[in-house]
Amino acid sequence: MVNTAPLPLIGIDDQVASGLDARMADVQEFETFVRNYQNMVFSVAARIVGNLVDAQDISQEVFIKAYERFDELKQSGTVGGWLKTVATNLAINHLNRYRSRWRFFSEEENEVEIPTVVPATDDRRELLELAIQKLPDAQRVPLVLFHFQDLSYDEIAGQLGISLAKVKTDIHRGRESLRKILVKTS
Amino acid sequence: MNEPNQDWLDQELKRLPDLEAPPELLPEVMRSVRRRAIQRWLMSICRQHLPIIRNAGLGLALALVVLFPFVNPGAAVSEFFDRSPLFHFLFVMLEVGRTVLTNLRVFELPVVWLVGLVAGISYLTCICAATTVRHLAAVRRL
Repeated sequence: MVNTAPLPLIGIDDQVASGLDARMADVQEFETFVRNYQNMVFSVAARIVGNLVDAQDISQEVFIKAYERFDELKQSGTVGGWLKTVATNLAINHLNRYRSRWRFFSEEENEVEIPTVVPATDDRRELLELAIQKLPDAQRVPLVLFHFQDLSYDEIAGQLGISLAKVKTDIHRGRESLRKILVKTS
Repeated sequence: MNEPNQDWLDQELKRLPDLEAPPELLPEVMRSVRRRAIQRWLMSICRQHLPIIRNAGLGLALALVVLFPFVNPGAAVSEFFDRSPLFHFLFVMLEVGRTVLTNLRVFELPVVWLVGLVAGISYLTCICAATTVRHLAAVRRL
């Protein structure tokens, strides 16, 4: 007896279409992911580089890297930490690559001139945010890593390739500069 | 605002909320991601159907080899140059130039010799001038 039932074959076109659908569903899921984390990633980058335009480019790069590993990340419980780490590394690399005035690695010991011209605003938090952006790189980066990324002095020294003493001095100076800026603009 | 002390600063820094990402960040990221998704999908198709693609390529190559004697690409190229009015004009102009250079005589010498002589002298003059400038620049630097 010959079995005349149709063979359950899937055509190449069906396979191709379903593959594309799966990719697009992945993309939709990734869009939600970006919506959830974009402010956090952007804040990390903006506070480190002190420049919103560069921070946008860095954030974009972070999410592209996240997309490359999205299958792993969506099952991981430490997505936020991963994104923060990648954003921090990319922001520091960006500063090293593009800023000749970067002083971290020169072990600069002189007092850095602090710009005190901060746009006037009534919002205290906005004022603080602007003051952080106005800090010199050498003070802002360790301060941001310490206060916003909760890194220890040792970890900051390792990340920036500078001595522990310099990290402490820079953070102290950064806080003093921040205090001065806030007092002057209050 | 009162003068902020360190505790105040710590608290303020801790309480500072995330900055708002610019509205164009999401569309830009998604544009790149969609492009990558399509690239990945195309790559996966190629990988899935690699034997078909390989066999099709091999078949095409064989067909070209078989057709080669019939098509005769050398003749086709030559015909193309012959039929193109631009190339025809260029050939005519080159021929005219060659005839002028070989047949025209100045002071009983063919023009082609004079042109060669002038070109050679110009070249030597340029070399001498460049060497002199370089030498002078080096002397001035010292």
